[in-house]
Amino acid sequence: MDYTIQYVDRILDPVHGFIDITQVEKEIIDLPIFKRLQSLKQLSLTNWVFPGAEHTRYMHSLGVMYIVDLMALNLKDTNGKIFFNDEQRQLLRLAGLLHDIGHYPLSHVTESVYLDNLTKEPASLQEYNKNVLDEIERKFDRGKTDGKNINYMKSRSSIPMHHETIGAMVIREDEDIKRIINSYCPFVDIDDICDIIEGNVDRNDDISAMVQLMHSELDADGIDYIMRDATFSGTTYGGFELGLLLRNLVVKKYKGIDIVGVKPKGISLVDQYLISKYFSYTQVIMNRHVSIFNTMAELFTKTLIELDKSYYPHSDTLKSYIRRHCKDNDEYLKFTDRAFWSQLDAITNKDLEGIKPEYIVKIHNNLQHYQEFQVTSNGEFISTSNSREKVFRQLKRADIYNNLKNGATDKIYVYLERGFTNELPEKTFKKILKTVDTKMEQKQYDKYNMKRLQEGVVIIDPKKEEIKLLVDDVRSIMSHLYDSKTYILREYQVD
Amino acid sequence: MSNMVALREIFFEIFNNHYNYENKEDRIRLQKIAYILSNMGIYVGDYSFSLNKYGPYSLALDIDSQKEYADRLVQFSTVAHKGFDKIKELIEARTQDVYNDVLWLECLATLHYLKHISRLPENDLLNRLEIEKPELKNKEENKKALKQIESINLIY
Repeated sequence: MDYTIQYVDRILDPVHGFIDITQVEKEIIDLPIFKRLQSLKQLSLTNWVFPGAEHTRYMHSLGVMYIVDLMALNLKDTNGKIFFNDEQRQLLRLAGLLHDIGHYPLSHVTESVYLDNLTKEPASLQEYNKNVLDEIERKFDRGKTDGKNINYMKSRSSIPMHHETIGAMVIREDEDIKRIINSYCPFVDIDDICDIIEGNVDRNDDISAMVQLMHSELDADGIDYIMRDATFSGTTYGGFELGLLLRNLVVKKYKGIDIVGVKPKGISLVDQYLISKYFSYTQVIMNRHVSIFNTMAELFTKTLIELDKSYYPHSDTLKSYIRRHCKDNDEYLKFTDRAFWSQLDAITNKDLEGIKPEYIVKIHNNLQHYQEFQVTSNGEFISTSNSREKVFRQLKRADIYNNLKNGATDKIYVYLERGFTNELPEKTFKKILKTVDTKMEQKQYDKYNMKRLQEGVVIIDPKKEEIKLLVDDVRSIMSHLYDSKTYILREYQVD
Repeated sequence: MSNMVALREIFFEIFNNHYNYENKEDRIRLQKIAYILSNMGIYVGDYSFSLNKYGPYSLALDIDSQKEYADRLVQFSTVAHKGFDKIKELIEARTQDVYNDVLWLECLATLHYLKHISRLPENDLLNRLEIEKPELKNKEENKKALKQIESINLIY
């Protein structure tokens, strides 16, 4: 018998109103391993600056489930027929619900520490700052040939400590999650949920459209978090015409793969969304106070993992917690924001002095007292431009850059950049590919271009054969803004 | 978080030779060691791999490896060094005169990808390897590689 979505309960959400849930979702939400997300703040220490930003990964996960289902309900093919049936919607809803189940304490703050293990920990503030300088110089040097610009449809399957890969591991290992899904939704392939979460489009072409709804420039994750972050931070950067945007979603088979996009009428709506997202990042996440708090927390988290006294687990221990998670082995449930705060207080300066560099001791002391390092006077460089070369010239003239180059020992530097879109025009994309293979076959080009289309926002006119990315459409502001970015370098006094 | 791109330096640590982007075999070597290191939990960059002509391949990594940075001293962590040692061990594990180091790395990385990323059943792996990479004809050496990938685990 075909599965039909039937709601059995509802949860009141401050952003979306009532979110209806099915039985399978209700039972998963009731599991302690899901409820763990209630103890993970979405925006780390942002609430120390925007006091309302107390929202959690728990409510964000419910929100993503809700939004991805709205997208699925509105997604039609070029003949106007609804694309997904109820079984597919349920699969998507589960992926939305579980997409952050592997997240870390303080979210990306801790995740970045578990990922950042290639180089030695800086032994001093000077060394730390030298790494920052190195990063800035290489970024400006690489410019448009930065591989990141072309890293489309990133599947994190090969990055074991990425929260998406951890999440996929939780779903595959947790007996309760599997039992509940198999019991109510035997048609659901757990590997499909994991692929949607990890952004893997290579294993199963049939879920291409689903992966895009969760992993592209216009995905349910981004839509929920910009609305949620704005609501809770009290800012207005989450505003855009969601309803109209949903009505313009369309899917088309292109070279054998389902590509999700928007009709031409939706171009300005996507532009509006991307601009909102840009402001959400530059004004909230990259706020001068938020960014230093998060940097301090990141540096202290690194210390926690290294100290014998702390119970912050090493990577392999963390994975073993997940593998053996059950009612009697609940260590993974304790790996939340609470672990960070309790360890911050449990560790004394005496535990650190002589073992860790002085700036780490100061970070510890400041965090214990809810204090941040202050931006120095003239300690901020901000520039928005479509010319990296111009920005770098400006930066090199700035005092703080020269302080950084001269190896300041009592300052810490934070460098950030953010653009409007990751899309590249086709002409630029082809130029970059030529540097890799001057005689690239059409088949190979199509393979790379497919991922570019899957990740970007594609404009699909149901009456026409060809499709193109937003940045290749002159009706979009993004065709002009695609290479504009905001570059920020700040200098903070370490006291 | 550090966004350091240190691909050439990683190559030098393992092969004790300077990376040459114009050399096809060097490009293959770098792709495969980066794939294996990444799967051992050593963060070489936010690279995504998919199966290509020479096994797991990342376009972004290929582009990043084009750039050469002169006179840069990269101090790798203890974990990274453990990873490099493991790669050297894996390379040494091949039977001499069967596959050269490039083919052997392709064999290891492709099998790992088929098993852990494509999630093929165990008994399909070797057959699928021969389909994907017909130049890897030596069944015994392929079986040996299959055993070796069991040792590609998280390093901490």
